[in-house]
Formats: sequence, structure tokens, C-alpha cells
Amino acid sequence: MNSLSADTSSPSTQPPRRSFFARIAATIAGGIALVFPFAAGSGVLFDPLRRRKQEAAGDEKQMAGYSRICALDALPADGMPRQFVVTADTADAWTRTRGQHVGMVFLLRKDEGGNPKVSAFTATCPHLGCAVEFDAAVDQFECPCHVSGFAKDGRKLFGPSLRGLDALDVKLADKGGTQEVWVAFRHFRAGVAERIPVG
Amino acid sequence: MSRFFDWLDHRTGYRTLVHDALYEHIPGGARWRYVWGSTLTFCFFVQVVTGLVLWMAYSPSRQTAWESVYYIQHIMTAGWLLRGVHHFTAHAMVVLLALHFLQVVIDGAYRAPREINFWIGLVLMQIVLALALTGYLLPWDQKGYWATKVATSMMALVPIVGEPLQRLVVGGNEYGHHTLTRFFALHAGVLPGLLLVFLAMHLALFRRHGLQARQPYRRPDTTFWPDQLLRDAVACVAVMIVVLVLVLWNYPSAEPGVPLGSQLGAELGAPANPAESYAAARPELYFLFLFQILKLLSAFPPVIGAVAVPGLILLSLFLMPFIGRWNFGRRFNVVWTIALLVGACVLTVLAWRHDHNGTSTESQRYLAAVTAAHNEAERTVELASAPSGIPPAGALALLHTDPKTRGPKLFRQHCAACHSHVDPAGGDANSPDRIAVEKPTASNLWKFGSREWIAGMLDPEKIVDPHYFGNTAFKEGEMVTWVNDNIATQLADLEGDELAEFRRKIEDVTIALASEAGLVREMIADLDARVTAGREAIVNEFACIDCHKFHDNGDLGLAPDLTGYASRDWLYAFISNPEHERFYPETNDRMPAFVPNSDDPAANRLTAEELTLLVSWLRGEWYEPAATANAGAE
Repeated sequence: MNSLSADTSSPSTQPPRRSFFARIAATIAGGIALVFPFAAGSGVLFDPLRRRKQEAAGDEKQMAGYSRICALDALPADGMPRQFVVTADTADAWTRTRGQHVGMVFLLRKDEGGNPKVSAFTATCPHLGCAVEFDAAVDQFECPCHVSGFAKDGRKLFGPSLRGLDALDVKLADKGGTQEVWVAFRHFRAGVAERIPVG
Repeated sequence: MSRFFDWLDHRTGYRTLVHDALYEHIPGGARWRYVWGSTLTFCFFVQVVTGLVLWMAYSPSRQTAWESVYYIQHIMTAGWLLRGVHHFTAHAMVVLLALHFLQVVIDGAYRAPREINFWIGLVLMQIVLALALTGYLLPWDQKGYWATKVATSMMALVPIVGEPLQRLVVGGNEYGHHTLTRFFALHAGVLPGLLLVFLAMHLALFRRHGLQARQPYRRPDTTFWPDQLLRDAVACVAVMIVVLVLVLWNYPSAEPGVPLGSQLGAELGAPANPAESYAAARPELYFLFLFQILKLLSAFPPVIGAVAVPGLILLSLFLMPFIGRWNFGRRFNVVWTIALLVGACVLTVLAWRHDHNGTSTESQRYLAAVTAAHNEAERTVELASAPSGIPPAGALALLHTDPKTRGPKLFRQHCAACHSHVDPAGGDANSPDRIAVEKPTASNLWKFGSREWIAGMLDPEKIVDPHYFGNTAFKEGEMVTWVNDNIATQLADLEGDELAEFRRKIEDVTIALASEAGLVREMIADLDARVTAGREAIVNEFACIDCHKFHDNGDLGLAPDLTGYASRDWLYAFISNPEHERFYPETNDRMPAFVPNSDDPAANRLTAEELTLLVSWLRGEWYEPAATANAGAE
């Protein structure tokens, strides 16, 4: 506690033991003070990592997660992809919107033995998220950004995408005599070979 | 006065500070090659000041970001100038970074003891690029939205940390309010703060080590003030002039009467719309070479082109002080830097040419998308500048309810499998309203219900042409028979005054029927007498009421009701259900009912809102600003 300590390596007038504790204490106290604002902000900063799933859009209970796209009759059974806008009730932070346009899908209908068969692909390119378009002249999907090509069944034909177009689950629902096409619209991780749903 | 300054200096020591700042030693005299760092600092200063002013008018949220930028660009005094300067100074900064870097490498200014300052410079370069990237999204227009989506998707490709990092930056899984607030916090807070810290270190170390003077010395040693500062200031003014030239680039070709905000400065695209693809999504010009690398390396997984290659290039820059320890290494660094810069330029040119050559289908699609996006952007500004302004739901809601832009899209989606919409007289081939169908199987609806359209219906040759009934079951129907039996024979038999009289009668009927539509573009007051004559002919001489109902005459059931023909109500009802008693209860030819259930909107092909938009578009009824209002304006 005083300058009589034997192991003074410096000729300092500071008492070394006290100095040692003071340094530790100053470092800890100063560190706490410095970390404090970061700690206070970390909750909000990392909030998006905790909020894995936004509340699902609530259409109808048995159709939770599905969005109504169109009447089945609106879709000719010629196997040609047709683009539709997906509307859903959305929650974006504080804003809740009913019937918001949230994305685009392609629907193809090819009936088998009189039974309607509809498949759906999201229009989001699995490469890096641009919107693919269907080019009827060459009968394939193409992405205008980095030129990936996909067949009508979603298979990858060429370009940098690591996988084919992302298929979406389709449900046909009878509503008062009208057949409707419902699609489970979701996003997938871009740029990877596996199909990993996001959110 | 001098006593005051003495006192001030005694209390603050400001004279030493100012002296140190101004009288830095410059061996070998002032040179132009030393100006690059100063021009960059100048640009940062410009960005801070213009950015702070932009901040005073910017509001980051999904419903206000585009809207507030629109307000800056088009309404606020010289807002286009402020935005233009901020935008093009960012471009200038990237170019100056490259030049500054090149000069440092050529002068070998990374060698001991300046290695750490060189690395700090590289960090500064990354911060500036990150500022450019985050700024691109803030206007929340289509190009920024889609390009940034690609950028954040690439971020997720970084191994391990990429995916959570992407969620932190985007503020969730999907783009929304928090994407904007976070990008804005990065762009206006975090990144400039970091830049300031690193810039302070950069300058402090620069002063500590002194200037890396270029040998041989051509002039006697001098000081920063005023010799070098003069050169620096001249260079900064030159940068300013270049930026102003870029902002005012379109001024010589500016159209008089059109607000300058629409023609000068940085472009503002149509508001971001996740449900509207944007085939012209491209990064900002100075990132175009990265975009091209990605395309060239399309044989490899995206993580190679998006993360590994840029990462390795960056690593090679960080290693320059080590490589430069040998003479050969120094030369290698120079060659490598020049190769990278030339490579980036070549890739940029390649990417640009690929999009703009105008001959390949990909290029044509790109250019068409650019034009469409440009038109949509102009239209949004037109609507936003209308007296009704932007609703609280944002500018996107304006576009959603605009017949002029939604109409062609709805027509393409729902009608163009059978109907075309092309001007039979040719007209403007690039008109957004022109929707050609390769093999139309139903009538051409261009100006449906107008005098011109109805005249064709009563023309024996035109009615069987593909523009009318040529490709439908009605080609063999009663109407064609009637036109042939009555109009065609009369036209063939009659001569002279009688023929002229008969032609006039047809015209009366045409005018009378067209007046039923109540089209604003067809309204001409002095035609009242002819409308009366035409109505008379519809009932008596032409006896249209044998099949059609027309006001109080005739019955429903055989042919479409001519009462209010092609009016809003008529079109709405017809498209809703053509098999309704009023139209074709027995003889409908393949046309589906688009809104058969008025009590259950979800079961219909079109919503009531969509059908209203489609009807308005077919009738040419939409908002046009007063100065350029066409006859069809509401």
C-alpha cells in the first residue's frame, strides 16, 4: 500500500500495488461505461434475428399461409405459364395492409384425364432475386439480370442459378361452385443449390 | 486587435495549430499529382453538407421514402440541383478514389513506414463504396429496390455470417420500413461516422510521415500554404465543375415548360413495387464491372463471383506493402493496379454494350424495360403533381388506381389472349396502349364504341375483317347478314344524291350510337341534330330494333342492348357477364364472364376495382395534367 514495496521496477512515485488495482478498476469501470450504450442498443439492433417469422397473413383458417390467386377458369389448360400478382395481408413493422401486392407467381395448368392440375412457381429468380419473365418465343423462363434460363417445368436450363425455379404449393378450393387456385407464396434463399424457405 | 489574438493564442495555442496545418513541408515543390487526396476530402465535405440538407427533407419509410424524394426533386426550390450534386459527387468520388489509389501505388507510398496508412486508405475506400451502395436504395424507386435486392442476396452468400448479417441489414426477412431505416442509419450515421474517424487517422498519419515526395525534385521545397493549396483548390473547383456539368447535362436539350426537376439531376424512377418486375435492374455504373464478373463466372456458384473474386482482389490490394518490399514487387503492384483498373473499365464497357447495343433480343428487352420504367416514372410524377396529390398510402397507390398504366397491363393479362388493341390506321408503333395479338380471335377494341369503331361495324368489308368479326362465330351471324343485305346492296345500287343521302344516314346512325357511350372525346355539341336523326333511323329506317333493344324500343334476348352502348355501365356489365340477358344470352362466342358474382368478389376473375380500371382505360378516361390534357381526360 505504500512506496516501501521492494519490487519497484520504475522510479515512479506512484505506489505500485495501488496502481495495479486502480488500473484494473479503471479498465473495468471504463469498459462498463463504454459498453453501456452498445448494450442498451443491442436489443433493437439484433431484433431482426429474433423475429424469425412475421405473423402469417390471416385469410381463412384452413388456408393459412395460402393466398388466393385466381379462379381456375381464368387459367387455360394449355400448359402455358401465366403471370399473376400475389395479394396478401401483410405486416411490415407497424403497418398492416390488407390485400397488398406482395409478389408475382407463374401458374401453369395442364389437365390430366379431366382433372385440373396446376403448378406454380415464384417469379423470383433463385440466383439473386431478380424477377424472371416468360419468353413465349423460345418457350422458356429467363432472368433479365444475369441471364439464367428455366424450362416450363422449372428446370434450370442455363446460366448462373444453382437450382431451378422455386415451386410453390398449390391448393384448389371450391368456393360456392367456383374452383379457385390458392398458392402458398414464400421466399427462398437466393444463390444456393438447396431450396431453403426464408422466414 | 493583435492583443486579442495574443490572448486567444495564449489560451488555445491556435497559432501553432494553424501553422502546422498550413505550413506542412513539401519537398521538391507543389505538384498537381498531390491533389487527389484533397479532392476526395472536398467531395466528402460536399456529401456531408448536401446530405445533411437532403436529410432535412427525407423521410425513410415505405410510404414516404419515394414520396419525400419526389418532393425534393420536383417541388422544393432547386431540389433537383441538391440531389444531382449529391448523386454525381458520389460518382466523382469513386473515380477519384481510383486515381488517388493509382497515384499512391505508382509513387510506392505504401512502403515503410506508411503501410498502416495505406491500409486505412483501403478501409476508407470500402466505406465510400458502402456509402454508395446504401444510398442507392434510399429513394425507394424500382431500380434502387431491385439492384439492392441483388446486393443483399449476395451478402447472404458470405459463409457463416452472411445470412444473419443480411437479416440485420435488411431489418428482417423482407424489404420494408426497417430496410429503409437501417440503410438510412448506415448511410447517414454509421458509415460517415466511421469515415470521419478513419479520415482523421489517415490525415494524422499522413502528416506524421510527411508527403511521399516524388523524385527528382524539380523546384525548391515549399509549404502547403499557399502553393499546394492553390493547386488543391483549383482541382476541387474542377471537380465541382465536372459535377455541375453532369447535373446540367440535359439542359441544352431541356424542353421548355417541363419542370427542370423532370429533366435535370439524378433520375428518380417509379416507386418500388415488389409485384412489378423490373427487367432493367442494374447496379450503379461503378459497380457494373462486378455485375459483369458475376455474369462471366456464371459457370461457378454465385458465391465465387459475388464474394470470392472481389474478396481476393481486395486481399491483393491489402498485401501490396509486403509485395512492394522488392523492386520487382513494386513494379508488379503498378502493373496489377493498372490491370485491375483497365479490367474494370473493359468489363463496364462490355456490360454497357451488352445492354445498349439494341440488336440482341436481350438488349432490346433491356431497352424496352428502361423506356417502360421511364414512362411509368413520369406518369407517377404526373399523378403525384395532380391537385389531389399523393394519398397517405403512398405513390404506389396512385399507380394502382391509374387506368392509363394499369389498363394495358390488365388488358394484356385478361383480354389479349383473344382481343387486340391496335390502331387500325397504324399510329404510333411504340404507344403503350398498342397491344398487338399475333392471332386475334376476337375484335380489336381500339377506341371501342367511338364513331370510328361503329362505322367499321356498319361497313360490309370491315365487319368481316379480323378487326371486327372476322375471326369469330359472328362472321356467319345475323349482323353480318344484315349489313350485307341492307348496307352493301344499297351502296351498290344507289347512285348520285341518293347514295350521298344514304351515306349520310349511316353516319347519323354511327353518330347516334357513338353518343350512347358518353365518351368525352366524342362530345361535339353541334351534332345534336344528327344524333336525333340517327336515333330515328335506328328505330325506323334501319330497324336495328328488330334484333336490338334501343331505349324504349325493341326487346332484349337476340342481340346486345344498344341503350348506352359502350358506356361505362354497359361495358362494366358486358365484361362482367356477356351471357347476361342484355347481351348474348344464347349466342355468346367464347367470352368468359369476368365478374359473374357481384355478391362474392373473391370468386371473380377481376375485382370490381380492376374492371373499373379496365373500362376507364378502354374509354380513354384518365387523369391528364391540364397543360397536355387530351380529349379523353376526365
